[in-house]
Amino acid sequence: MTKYVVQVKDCFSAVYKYLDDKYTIPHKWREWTIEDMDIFLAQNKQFLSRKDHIGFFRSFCSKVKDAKKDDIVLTRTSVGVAINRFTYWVYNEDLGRIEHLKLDDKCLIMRINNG
Amino acid sequence: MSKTITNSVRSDDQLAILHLFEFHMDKDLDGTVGEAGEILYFTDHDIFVTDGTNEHTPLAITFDRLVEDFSMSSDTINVSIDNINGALSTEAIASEWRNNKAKITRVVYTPPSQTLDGDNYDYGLVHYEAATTYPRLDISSVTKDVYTLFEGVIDTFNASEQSLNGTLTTKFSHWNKAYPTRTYNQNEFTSIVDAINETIYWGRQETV
Repeated sequence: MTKYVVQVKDCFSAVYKYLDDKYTIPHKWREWTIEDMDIFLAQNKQFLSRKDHIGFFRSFCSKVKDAKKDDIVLTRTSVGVAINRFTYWVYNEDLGRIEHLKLDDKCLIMRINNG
Repeated sequence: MSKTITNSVRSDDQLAILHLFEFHMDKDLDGTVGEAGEILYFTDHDIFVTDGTNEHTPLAITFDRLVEDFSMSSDTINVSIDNINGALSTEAIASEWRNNKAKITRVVYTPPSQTLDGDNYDYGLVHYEAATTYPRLDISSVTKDVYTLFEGVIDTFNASEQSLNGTLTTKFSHWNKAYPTRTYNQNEFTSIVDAINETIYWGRQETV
């Protein structure tokens, strides 16, 4: 079976692609599958407003207090990956590249189960 | 500690300077390496810096100009880390900073060349950036001079929600002390002090 190649177009697809290359993560969640990525991206705002991005990662991650490398960092409007305890990277759509930000109290940190 | 400065990157090249900071938080009060042994690596550069082994996290760090003279006094330097976040606050409060090793290294380097849209820029435009990874400067393979600005131990520190300030002192901090600092009134122990003074002179045993 040919592996579906995720195109990096926003913060979610960037994180999904990064994690999918390194870890075993689910390719479907509720009625959504990885092949629907473009549809999902088109409905990005709905996805974020429903906090589906948190629900998706909660399905295979556990919430942790202190971040370490490759933990998932969730905010109200974005998804990123922890670099270390202090910072995380996130894909900035406006800049068209990844940037690093400081972890703060508003970040929800999740770790892949058995990851 | 050598302050020899080589000339590797000063031959008509464009220069860039950054500083690397190491704070060894891996010692317990008794000097042994603790279970949660770790070293914090920071840089005052605006992106991550890796030297091939360790990755230095960019933070807004400033430090005083080091005052040196020929008197036999101990040199100290104040370091201020701004934009502290929750993790660093926790580390600062939970750990014993004092007497742990601290090191400031200056790196003078030639920015690596880059190609953008077919044009080659000898001294680079931006650092190693790609769409799929966070910006990071790898100095392991660039032309550079590396020398230690300061190496010593953490003396005091204070942390607030906004910043972390520390004083670093050299390993020779006891150089000019005839006897160890006491926390009680030494006048009450004049006989002890006199006994120490009889045998210790300027940090060494008096032989004459």
